[in-house]
Amino acid sequence: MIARIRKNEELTSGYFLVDIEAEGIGLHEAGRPAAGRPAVPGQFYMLKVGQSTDPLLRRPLSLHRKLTDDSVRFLYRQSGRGTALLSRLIPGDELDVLGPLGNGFPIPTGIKHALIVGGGIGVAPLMALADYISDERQDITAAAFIGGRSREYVLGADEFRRKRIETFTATEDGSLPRKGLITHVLDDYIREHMRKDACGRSTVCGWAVYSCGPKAMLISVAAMAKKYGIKNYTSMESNMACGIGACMGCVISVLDGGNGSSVYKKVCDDGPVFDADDIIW
Amino acid sequence: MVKTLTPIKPSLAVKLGPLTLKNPVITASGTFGYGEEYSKYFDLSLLGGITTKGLSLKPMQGNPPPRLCETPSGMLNAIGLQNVGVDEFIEKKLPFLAGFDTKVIANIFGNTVEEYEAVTARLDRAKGVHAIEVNISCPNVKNGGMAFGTDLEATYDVIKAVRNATSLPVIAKLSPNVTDVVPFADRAAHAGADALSLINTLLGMAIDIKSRKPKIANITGGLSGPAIRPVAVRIVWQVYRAVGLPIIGMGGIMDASDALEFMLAGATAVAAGTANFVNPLAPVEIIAGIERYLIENGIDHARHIIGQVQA
Ligand SMILES: Cc1cc2nc3c(=O)[nH]c(=O)nc-3n(C[C@H](O)[C@H](O)[C@H](O)COP(=O)(O)OP(=O)(O)OC[C@H]3O[C@@H](n4cnc5c(N)ncnc54)[C@H](O)[C@@H]3O)c2cc1C
Ligand SMILES: Cc1cc2nc3c(=O)[nH]c(=O)nc-3n(C[C@H](O)[C@H](O)[C@H](O)COP(=O)(O)O)c2cc1C
Ligand code: FES
Repeated sequence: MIARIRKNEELTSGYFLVDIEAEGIGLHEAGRPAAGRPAVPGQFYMLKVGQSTDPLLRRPLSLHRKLTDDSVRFLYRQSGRGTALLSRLIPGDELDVLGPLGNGFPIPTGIKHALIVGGGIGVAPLMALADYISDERQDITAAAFIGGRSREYVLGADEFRRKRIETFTATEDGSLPRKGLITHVLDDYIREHMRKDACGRSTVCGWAVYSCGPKAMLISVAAMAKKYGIKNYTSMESNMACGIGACMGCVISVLDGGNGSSVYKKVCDDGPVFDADDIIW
Repeated sequence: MVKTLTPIKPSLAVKLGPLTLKNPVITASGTFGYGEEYSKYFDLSLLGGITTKGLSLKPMQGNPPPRLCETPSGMLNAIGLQNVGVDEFIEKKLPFLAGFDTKVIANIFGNTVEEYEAVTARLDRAKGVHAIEVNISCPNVKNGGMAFGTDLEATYDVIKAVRNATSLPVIAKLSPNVTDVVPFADRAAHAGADALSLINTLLGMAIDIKSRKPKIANITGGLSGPAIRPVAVRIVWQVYRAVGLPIIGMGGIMDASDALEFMLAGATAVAAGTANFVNPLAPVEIIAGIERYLIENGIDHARHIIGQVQA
């Protein structure tokens, strides 16, 4: 569908927020199985930036915030030519958008406490999850853990706090406490809360970790979640051509059931959110 | 008062030997899944034909990721022919496709002549398959694929074996990764092919200068998209002039004017491939654009433009 840019502003050096509008853009497209239902956190859109054949392919961006049924917001990092072109679009400009696509973050029944862990641009899809939990799930509490290189790259912390989500930060250079990796903060949090309730593993039952960010962070979060017996759902990236499950180009290796063999799963269609336990990193 | 003439609706139907298409637009193998994904975006009955992802005797896992990357006005892929296998296709995917009023072209490949033969025999018995496209040109698998398509006698042997295993129309999909495609087209014709598909992807490579690694895990991959269009148009034209078989032209067709270029060069039908990824509606827009061109130029039949380049 053709969408119109409403706002496209630099948030911090190289990171942008763009609002686009089109009728029904926040809903599943007519003809799709979930037609008319709202886009869910963890889903993404494929954006055609520019009219020419170079760049050729659409760029995947995660739903950052569903503003209304007819408008959505993306948070993106200018990383190459496509996102640079996107950053130059101004209000009123049009662009072709496909979506929402993919599966979204699962919230299995019984989940009472969500640990939201983001590094850098990884905050993009997690904000949508935080919006959903704070607006529509009074039965779930959340805590957010946001890491970045330095103060400017800890994205969205104030927004999470505004939602009354307890929010922890970490920067590699110490420009915002605490200095170090966000995974250390997460580890302390989990251990402290396990101790507080003084009844071992059972305190983390009903918890789930939702992660998105650099691969090294995702791997260490996944290992930690496994260690404490907490479910971890993570949003994955991969180069995409079609975004709708047709080209088989976006696969990653995941475990197939309990037998230890691996299969290729499509990030666009089977994902982008996977059970971290299944991913072969 | 000026009397406005209602333009006569031109006929879009074309014939690929024994296979009649209601319009010349097909979707290219590997770029349209098994149709289901795109059926959410438009009515597949609008298409002249649908070519399936390549099918093999046994399911295939395909190549390790990363499998694709973007290149200037194109993309490299090394999917490695991941597919569900011919039996699951017939059982689970074909019934869905058979529900549409369009021609289903099953694209096949194998590691040996016998495998090509066996896959063909199974499809021959399946209801709802209208033609078999023989891929002897995939650059992304070790055996089979291009190994057949770059050897004249192997080309002949595979097409002949498929020909003998089915009464369905046989389309040979040839490799552009040879010095001259014409002798290959000629051998395929002698082996009994009814039509030719031109072209498969061109072998390419891209390197990430930061990591100093190839951008796709397979190291080399198949280049598709607008970047290869002039090469494809040239090959279609050369083969059209030299060999008598109808041609399905493909390679970087993004819109109707690209499709018309192929038809003028000698293609009877055209296939949209990479275009589907960029614009799921590309095939239907191409059909509409061809019709508009015919009306605007007072041509009453699509077949009248085939090979009409003034060269
Ligand atoms: C499901 C999903 C959701 C995403 N959500 C966001 C988001 O919300 N915000 C954000 O800033 N980024 C997101 N990304 C990454 C984003 O798609 C890339 O940064 C973007 O495609 C880069 O395009 P470019 O032209 O600027 O870069 P270039 O490096 O010039 O791109 C070249 C090619 O590589 C692909 N590519 C490059 N980096 C990536 C990457 N990390 N992931 C996938 N493909 C890549 C491009 O799509 C393009 O085809 C997401 C990726 C996926 C797969
Ligand atoms: C991702 C991808 C997968 C493909 N898979 C197959 C395949 O399984 N069998 C085949 O014969 N051709 C395959 N092709 C080649 C296309 O059918 C087509 O010949 C080629 O891409 C050129 O057309 P295009 O530039 O319009 O994409 C594939 C192409 C792409 C891009
Ligand atoms: S991007 Fe084509 S299958 Fe996922």
